Amino acid sequence: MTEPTTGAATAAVFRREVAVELAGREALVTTAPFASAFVVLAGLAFGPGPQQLAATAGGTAWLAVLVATVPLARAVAGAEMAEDSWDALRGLVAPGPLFAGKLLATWAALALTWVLSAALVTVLFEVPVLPGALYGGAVGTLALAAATTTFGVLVASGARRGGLLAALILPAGLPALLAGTQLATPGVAVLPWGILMTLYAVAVLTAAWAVFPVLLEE
Amino acid sequence: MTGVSRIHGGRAVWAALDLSLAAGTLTVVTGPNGSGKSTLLRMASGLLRPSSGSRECAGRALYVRGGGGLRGAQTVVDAVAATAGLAGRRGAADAAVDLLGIRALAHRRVGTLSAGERVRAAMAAAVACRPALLCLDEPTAALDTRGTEDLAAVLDALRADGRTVLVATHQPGALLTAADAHLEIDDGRVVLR
Repeated sequence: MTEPTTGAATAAVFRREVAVELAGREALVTTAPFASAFVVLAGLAFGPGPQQLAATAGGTAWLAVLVATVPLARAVAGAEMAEDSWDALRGLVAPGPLFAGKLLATWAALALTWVLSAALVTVLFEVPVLPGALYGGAVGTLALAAATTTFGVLVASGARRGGLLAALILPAGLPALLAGTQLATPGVAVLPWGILMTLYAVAVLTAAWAVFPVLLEE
Repeated sequence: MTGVSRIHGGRAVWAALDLSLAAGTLTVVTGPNGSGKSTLLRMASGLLRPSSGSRECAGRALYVRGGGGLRGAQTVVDAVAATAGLAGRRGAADAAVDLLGIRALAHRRVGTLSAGERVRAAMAAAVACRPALLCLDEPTAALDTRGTEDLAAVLDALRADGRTVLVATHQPGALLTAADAHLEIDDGRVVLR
């Protein structure tokens, strides 16, 4: 029997994730209303002065994305285990494509959350969208997706560590929060924060790729 | 599996197990709760790493517990296709749904199925994936006598296709009649082959 290539297996995992989301819309209903409410409430809390809103706009969007990683992490493995589908997935797909497929799905969800939050911030806080912010959004959400995928499996595989998810994932995403906020703030030098975001993404992706197969072992 | 042991919590769940399953055979494992059936199947499928010893499998192994393996939000036909797609066999999903006789359930969500219907849907996915080794953990718990007979017929077809099937169950029923081998286990030891 011909085994699927790594690319084909990755695509199959991603396609399955998208199909499950389209069927259940769990990520949509847990993150989109939350991110929208977060941005609106932050505007009320930090505003209403235009200067205060402009100063907090980038951070507001990234805080919404960072906090959204917690419910999204459950979709990586916790929901699969609850439905007894995790074992079949592990049996059918090698660790590499399994990680890559889950990573792509989580990245898509986080990137959409960032786009939604940034769009709301742009409209409600009346701030411009900077090119650096777009780069930060793409690379930062990729790094957060790698961390979310890894922590999702780590926590789901240890029942007694369930409460640790937020404690683990939020500090791990701090560099993305800091660099992403600066990249979205007018008047801030883009290069150093862009380099920090890039280095952070490379480090997180490398670590996640190395650790993920170990997390799958029983 | 050769000389396989599994230590859990300082206790040997399995010790020095030698087990060889020929291609195209059906083996039924029975034994009381906590005797090591699930551990045996998880080690055989490669999900659980033995503490010592070695395991070889000529191809992909699939472990399914009860009627698990499929996502509850999807319809049966989509869930079977998605699972088969993981094995590079998405195109085999429709035929598997027909083989299991669940065409009438095809557009119902997996999460709304009865336990017995979920086992049928899970078996359709397993058939579509066509693994070299299929490990089924308690597939008969939610099945009536007729359901167990139907399951035995499906496993017989898999066996005829050269697949190796290992089933752990408390209620073997018709499976025992169809089996090539029967392992009775207790406390991590095979007490009857």
